[in-house]
Amino acid sequence: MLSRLTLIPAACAAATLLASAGTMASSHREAPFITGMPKVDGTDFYMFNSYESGRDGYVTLIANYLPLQDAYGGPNYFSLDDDAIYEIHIDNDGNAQENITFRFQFNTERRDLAVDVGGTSVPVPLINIGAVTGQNNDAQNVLESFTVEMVTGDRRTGNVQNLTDAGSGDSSFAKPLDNIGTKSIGDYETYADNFIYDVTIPDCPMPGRVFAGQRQEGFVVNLGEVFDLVALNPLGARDSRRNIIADKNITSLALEVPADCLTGENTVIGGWTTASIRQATVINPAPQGSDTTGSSNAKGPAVKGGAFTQVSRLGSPLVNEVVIGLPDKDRFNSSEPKDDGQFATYVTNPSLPALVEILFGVPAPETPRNDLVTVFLTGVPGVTQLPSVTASEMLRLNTGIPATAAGGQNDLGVAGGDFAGFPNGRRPIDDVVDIALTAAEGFLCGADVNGEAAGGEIGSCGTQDMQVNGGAIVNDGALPNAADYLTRFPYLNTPLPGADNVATAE
Amino acid sequence: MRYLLAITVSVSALVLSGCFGSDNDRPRQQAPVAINYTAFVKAQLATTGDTREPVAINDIRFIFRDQTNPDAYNNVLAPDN
Repeated sequence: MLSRLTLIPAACAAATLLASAGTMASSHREAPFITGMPKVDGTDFYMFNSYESGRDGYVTLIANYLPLQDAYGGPNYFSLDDDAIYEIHIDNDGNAQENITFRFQFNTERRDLAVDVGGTSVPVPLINIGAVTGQNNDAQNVLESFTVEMVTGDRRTGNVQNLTDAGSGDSSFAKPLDNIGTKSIGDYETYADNFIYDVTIPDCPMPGRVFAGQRQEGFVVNLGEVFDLVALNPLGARDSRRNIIADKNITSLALEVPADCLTGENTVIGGWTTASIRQATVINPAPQGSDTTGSSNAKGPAVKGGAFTQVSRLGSPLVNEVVIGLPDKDRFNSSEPKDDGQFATYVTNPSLPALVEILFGVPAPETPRNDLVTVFLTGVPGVTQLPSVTASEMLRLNTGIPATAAGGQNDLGVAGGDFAGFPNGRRPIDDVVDIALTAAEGFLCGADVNGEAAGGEIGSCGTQDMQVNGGAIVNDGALPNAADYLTRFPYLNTPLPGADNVATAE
Repeated sequence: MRYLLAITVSVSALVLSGCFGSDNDRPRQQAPVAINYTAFVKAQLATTGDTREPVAINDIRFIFRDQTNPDAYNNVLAPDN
């Protein structure tokens, strides 16, 4: 497998671009229906060989949810949905169906802290009434915890086993408070580190790690101008604009698993994340309150039941955002990779290059886009393609390709000569927007990742079997900065505080 | 709970029969199944489970009989249910 990585430079770039060919940005609020359910809106999915020192042989999986969080969003901040399940699926045999699923479920406990007001105990309106540390949460009014189950086989009917704390054996893990501000949580990075758990994974000889909590948004995009009819200079400097979501937070479900516990007979795995909610909901017109209002025995604000029903899906970045047509976005979010044949037209005949031609007069590559089909739906030959594969959309990673140390990573991934990056999985630093834009405009047409050797053909664009538009690197002007990420698990940065009271506290 | 189970049974019977509210002049497979929306929701709540697949609804014609009935879901909202 690795011997095939002796690629010609242009082909290297082509490989990277291919995987994102149908994409352009991440997956924040990308479909009409999911905009009404931000708690279960998957925004980004990362899957890469761990590059923290001493973690060779591990794979890190990060599923981000609840988009565009303003750090000051109190008093409730950004808890997840107790009635939903959040899942990370792994296909390790290429049949477009999950072999392993890690299922996160959250539980919120409300302490109903109260203060004495004129001799009457009155519940407070805040989620904390004093400073909170990793060792002392007495002042914390709302506590979130979660479990992680590993399902082997079908995600609903397969064998279910719990991940457990490697030390205590507990199957419930605490989730940190969001970064309310420096007066509530003085040193958030140290505080959050208390919530990284070593875990025992069923059927796996080595422990892994898990963390669920708020992080600084790691996705980089000039979002406003991209969606304002691509109102940018796509051939300008890659850092000519700004990352407009740099001031947002996100909620990450991060899991680190020994690679050998994810792979099948090959070193390549496919991964994607989904969120599902109960099919039926009844809104309660008189929900539960407290003894103050004489309603402590009532039911919650909604009664939910029925089967878990998928409402969010995310593998490779930006697919549902800029590849899938508006009428099919909700359907894509409810779909499974094994049924992706229904979306093939969006890949063979992508609308984005046609729109760019309308807006800028840049000729779109010819169709059908066999280049995009190859890497987008089957994996890059010799890099992320299994010997037998069912065409389907997911993020693919070759766990046999060593990670690149944090200081040496190239944000163009394979296109930049860094084979440990996108589209061989996806790391936080990978600039998937620039890669996707470039691919969409024909950089990969006719590419061959094996050079003169056989077996590396990516595919043509209609009758075009060489780069279209001069192989231009098309970009959004927003450039990732390595300093904005951690070099250790969970890799995404400490979330921005809702208030910085350092100066006023003196 | 007994009420919910009864609803479940009745709705299931409707689905299986496939003829409630249908037009007998049309081919049977084209006739949408008509189900009271309230009953359908209650049936789902009563059959909550982690191993089930969701119910396909594209071939169901929902009848909304409780649009003006604020008490339609009282039994599922009752604290002791």
